[in-house]
Amino acid sequence: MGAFAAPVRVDIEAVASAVYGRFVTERRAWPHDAGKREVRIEVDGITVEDWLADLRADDDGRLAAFLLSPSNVLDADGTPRAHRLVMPWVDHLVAQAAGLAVTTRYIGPDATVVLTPLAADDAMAMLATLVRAWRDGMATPRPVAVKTALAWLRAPSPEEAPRAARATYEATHERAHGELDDDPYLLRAFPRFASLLEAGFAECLAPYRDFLGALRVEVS
Amino acid sequence: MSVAMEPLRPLAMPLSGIRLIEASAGTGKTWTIAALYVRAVLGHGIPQPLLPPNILVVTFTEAATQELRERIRARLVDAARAFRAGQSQDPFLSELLADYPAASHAACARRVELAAQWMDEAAIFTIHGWSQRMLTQHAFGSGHAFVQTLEPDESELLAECVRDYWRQAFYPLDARQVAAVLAEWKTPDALIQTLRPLLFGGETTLRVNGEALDTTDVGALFASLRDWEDEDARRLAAAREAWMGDVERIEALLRDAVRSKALKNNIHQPASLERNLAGVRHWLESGEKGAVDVARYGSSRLEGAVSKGGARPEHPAFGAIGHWDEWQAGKPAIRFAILADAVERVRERFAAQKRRRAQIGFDDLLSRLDRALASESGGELAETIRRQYPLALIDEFQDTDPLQYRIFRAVYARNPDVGLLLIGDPKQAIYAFRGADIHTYLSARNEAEAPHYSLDTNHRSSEGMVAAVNTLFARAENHPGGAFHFAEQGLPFNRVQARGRTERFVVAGADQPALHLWLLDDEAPVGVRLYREQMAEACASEIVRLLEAAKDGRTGFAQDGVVTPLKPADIAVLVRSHNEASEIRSALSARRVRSVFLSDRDSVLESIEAHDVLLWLRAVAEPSSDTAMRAALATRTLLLGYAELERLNVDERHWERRGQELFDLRETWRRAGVLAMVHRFLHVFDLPARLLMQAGGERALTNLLHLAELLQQAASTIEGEQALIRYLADRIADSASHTGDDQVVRLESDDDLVKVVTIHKAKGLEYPLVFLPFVCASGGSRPGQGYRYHDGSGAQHELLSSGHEAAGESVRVAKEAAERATLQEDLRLLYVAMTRARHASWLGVAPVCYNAAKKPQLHRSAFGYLLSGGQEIENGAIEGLLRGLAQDEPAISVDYMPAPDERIHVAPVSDERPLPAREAHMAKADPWWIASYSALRYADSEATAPETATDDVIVEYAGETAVAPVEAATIHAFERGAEAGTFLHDLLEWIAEEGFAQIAADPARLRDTVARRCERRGWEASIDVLSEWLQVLLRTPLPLPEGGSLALGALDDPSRYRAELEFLFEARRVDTLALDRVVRAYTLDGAPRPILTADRVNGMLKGFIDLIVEHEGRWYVADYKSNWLGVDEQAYTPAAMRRSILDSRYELQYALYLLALHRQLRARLGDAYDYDTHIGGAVYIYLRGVDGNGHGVHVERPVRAMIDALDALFEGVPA
Repeated sequence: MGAFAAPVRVDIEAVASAVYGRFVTERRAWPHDAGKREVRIEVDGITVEDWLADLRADDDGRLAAFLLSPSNVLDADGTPRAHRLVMPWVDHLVAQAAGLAVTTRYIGPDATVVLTPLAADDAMAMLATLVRAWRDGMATPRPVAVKTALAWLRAPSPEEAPRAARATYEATHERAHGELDDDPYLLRAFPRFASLLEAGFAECLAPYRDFLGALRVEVS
Repeated sequence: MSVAMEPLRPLAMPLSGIRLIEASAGTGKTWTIAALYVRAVLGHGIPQPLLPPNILVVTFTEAATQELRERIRARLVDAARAFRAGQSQDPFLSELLADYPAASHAACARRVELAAQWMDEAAIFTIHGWSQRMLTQHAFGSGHAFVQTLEPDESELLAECVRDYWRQAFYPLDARQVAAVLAEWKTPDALIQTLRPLLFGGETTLRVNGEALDTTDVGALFASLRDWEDEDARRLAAAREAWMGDVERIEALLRDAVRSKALKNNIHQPASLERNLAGVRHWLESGEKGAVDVARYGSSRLEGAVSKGGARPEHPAFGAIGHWDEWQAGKPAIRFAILADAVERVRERFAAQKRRRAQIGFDDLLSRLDRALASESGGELAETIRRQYPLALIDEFQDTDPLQYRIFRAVYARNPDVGLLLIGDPKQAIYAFRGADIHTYLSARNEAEAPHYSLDTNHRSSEGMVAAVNTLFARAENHPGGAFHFAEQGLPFNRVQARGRTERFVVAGADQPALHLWLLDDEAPVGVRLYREQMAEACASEIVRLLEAAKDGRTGFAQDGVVTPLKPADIAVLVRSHNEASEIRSALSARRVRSVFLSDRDSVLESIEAHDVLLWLRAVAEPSSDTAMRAALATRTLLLGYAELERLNVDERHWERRGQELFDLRETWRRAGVLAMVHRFLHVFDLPARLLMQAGGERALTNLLHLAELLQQAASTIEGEQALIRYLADRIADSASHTGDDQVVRLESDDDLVKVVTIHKAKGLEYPLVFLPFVCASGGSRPGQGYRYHDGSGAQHELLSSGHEAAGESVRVAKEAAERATLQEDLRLLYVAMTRARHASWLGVAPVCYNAAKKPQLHRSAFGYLLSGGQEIENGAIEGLLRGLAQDEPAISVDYMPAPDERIHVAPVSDERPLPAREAHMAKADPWWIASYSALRYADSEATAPETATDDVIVEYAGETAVAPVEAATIHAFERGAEAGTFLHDLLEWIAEEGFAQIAADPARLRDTVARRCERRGWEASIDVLSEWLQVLLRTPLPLPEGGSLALGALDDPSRYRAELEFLFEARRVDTLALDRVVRAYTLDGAPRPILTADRVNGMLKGFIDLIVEHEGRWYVADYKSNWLGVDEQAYTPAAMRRSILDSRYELQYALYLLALHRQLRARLGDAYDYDTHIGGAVYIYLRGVDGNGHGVHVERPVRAMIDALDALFEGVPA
């Protein structure tokens, strides 16, 4: 590959050292190894059981969970790539509901995206909403897609929300790629944004609203 | 235009030299070609008559060659008929007839008929097809390999060549050089995108800033780039140092200058100042420029931002930055040098690879023929081709390119005794994107001999339609560039005459204007999007209105007072792009009007069905995979619903059943191939019926079948299921880069649908009503990779660098030239679109603008150009221009666009019950067959008549079971059954041939033969018995019907007997029951016997008589019977034999044999013949019962009345 390897290597190194730099800083702020905690909660008739491992703690005993990202966690315009945090959000929520005020810290080369601690009651309510949505989704295709939902909620004004969501969901021009195109499930169930909307997209946004509410970005 | 144009008279036009025929739309071009063809076949106006294989006709597409072939054949047939009749209603044919003396009409007819029959081998080709044929037929002359694979899709090979180039050219580079390359192209694929248009742009000169692109030393260029970069880094470092040494003061200076507005605040915004300064500080610290534009603080750029009366902030750092900024302009551009290098090397490699693989692409066909003709032996090749095709007609010549024309010119130019007729319409040259070049046409026009011919009468459209188009374009002809925007009248528009049509388009009984101009708005410009939306809605509403109106039978096409109602299929909507097509189609489908879109670019591999088929294939290939099965069952195309998936979870037997179905399908795949499997799959899931009930189901089904065929085709070269799945997955992933007619989506339905057609696809077609709702949206020229234009001497391609919009004068010139060329083509496209309609067309006009302008930009579109000649059109001025048109021509109506409505179309319910089945009135021929006695007896017409005497015997004894002898002492113990029967018959036949008397006198010879024949069958034990028995048989005097006797051994004259005599006589509708009655009445005293089955014998009766003997002037029919009636000869009493005869109906047999003999003797003896005198009767010899005491012989001589009755019966005389 000759010289073609060099720029690739430079890129990889730059990212690795940036992530590492941020990680070292974070560790300094959360110096203590807090081990693992067992969580066990009942929500809406469902029992959730698991271990939260590799927790960190600061000098005041507050807990944090670290996640690392090898690529940027912010888009070019500075908004966090929130869709990547949807799965950690569930862990985060369960931890809060179980009474562990954990801060989830998603560390990338460019920034750290933080999920802040919540009151246990609030978390429990949010979790219940999520579980109901999950139950629905197991019974019938749920008319919602992560990026599209986030685009809707982040639109500068409610009037612009449908357009922003549509542009995320389906290709607006010939060479564009929508969320739809990468997901056979969506393609099958809701082949157009209109069908998604018609099936009740707007009513499925509550869990995403909760999620965005807990999201913070720390750049430096 | 220097050369005169004269109307073409098909009989007078010379058929030699290079001649040009301009055929405007709808003027009967094909008709003319056929007429000239007839002349060529007859040798009218040429030295000698030509045969179809010697008249070259070249046209544009494969489909067009088929159509031309048919049209010419039909014309030839017409001509032949006219010559046979000696007259014709057709003016051309009757004139043609008049040119030949009546005496030669028959010869002419014959000649034309022969040609018509020979059309299968007519030389009607596409240019590529013809080139291929020339290359292979004249392989020695052309230096072309005998066997080459024609590969229509070369994209993969090209990609390989580019990747090879990438490796060869870029891998040796060092890091900085690579960075420079990567700045232009990130991947080899990106390089392919750039190269493809340059490689396949036809004969085009590539230009950069007006200079022809030339290969330079890439290495040297990289060296100079390195020097430049070093200097760049030095200057930047100096600037950084200067700034860093005095950060505080510089920032203060800038803050002051911005606050005091010494620097224009629209350029240096106070709001962003601090962010910029922070950015600069970051640069100073880290050396990374980031997003900040440092160069804006260079002295000269600051100078430019100084407001009136303000003073420029001064600091050495600004100077240093300016010094660095100046250096930027001189950056050596590697882009074009690499492109030049890559174009050349990739082209070379591409060609070399194809040579190595003995593979050629479509383009190579032409370029190789061109090269062959230009080579040393080219003259001979041209001569050969001229001899082969003394006359060539080139159709659609406006779509030619320089290469194609060069080929024809090389063959035909400067040879006055051969003819090259160039037929086309420059006004319809719309294939620039495929490399067609109108300028080639124009220069060929200059070379063609004077005068030029034109077809001046439109046969397609109504008078109104022709007049409207004439008016529109003829008015525009007054613009400086003429209607088609060509300098110096290079492409003039001439009015055409109209022949008119016999039917008229009426709405509610009233005549309609031919051209409807709908104006959307005239006050303010409208965006393209709104224009499209509104026009699509209005157009769909109008179509619904017309279709609904057609229901009362007064809207449609009136001819002789009868109105044929308008149908959806009479309507076409012409569009330019997919977006336009889907806009109008969704507007139509919202109103329940079904439509079909004809395009030539949609790939079936991009359809959702392709993805779904892939999932199906995976599931079938791996029937035990649960995931694959679920994925397949969940596909949208399969349409099973979510319940199906749930059922798989809860109903295990259902899950198993589905699995079993997949296993079965895999069996089908393996046994019968993928096509059969997909078909089977469709039927297992009942898809055809379910899909057709859905909207869009026809489309889906068509795609599925199309995919199945593609897969089957691919499967012939691909081994195994997984390989095929992989192939399909690759093709789907890569559908964009493959082109090929095979994957273009097929038309889903021939139903009565509104057709949405791209203008390109509509060329050459005609529709009763045509809507052009989006005619004002200009295509516009997108620079893309650069501008293509024609500078008068050849095609040019001005390349643009990737980032730099700023370019020199030459780029501006190129841009203008390219835009002019685009507009010219748009005008021709508009001409094509407007000339498709037979009766009426609707145009959507609007003050269209792009990017929110205050004035309409309609003048940039072709239609706008026709109105204003390229001048801007003010707000509110469109209506006046349109009204001006309508004033001149009553066939044009101008109106504001009717408001769209929501009415829906209810398709008339068609009564599709089948009519009662037709009854056959055909005269039924009597079944004709060859019957035999056996067939009659067994009432079995399946039993065919025996071919040989042996067959006859076998059939007779088929019922007798073969029994092996208990002891071989006597003939009675001899084998029974058909084999024994034929054995005895054969022996007796042999004896008859050798001569009964001779054999009787030579017992040793008899024994020898018997021995040999027995040995063959393993019947050695019977040799002695048989030999002795045969001798007894020959010796024994056999009683004759009316007294006397005859021993076979006494027959010493072979001319008086005949063995195995075959007869065949006619049976005319003989009723078997009547036959039975006659025989029964006259034989064996009418004793009871089995009855024949009712049947009718019509045809022939066939049989073999064992022996006919003439004895003392009478003829006897003898037949050997090997029936076994008992253990010794005592069993063969007359009574027993009589019973056997009756049971087997042998009396019927001898009655028929006697009839045969009767007829034979009557024919031979003539009047001398008399039944009673000459017929002795039947002698049936029960071989096993023959002894000296008269046992074993049954005789009878039926009375004459029976024979007469039978004779009449077989003559067909009713009994």
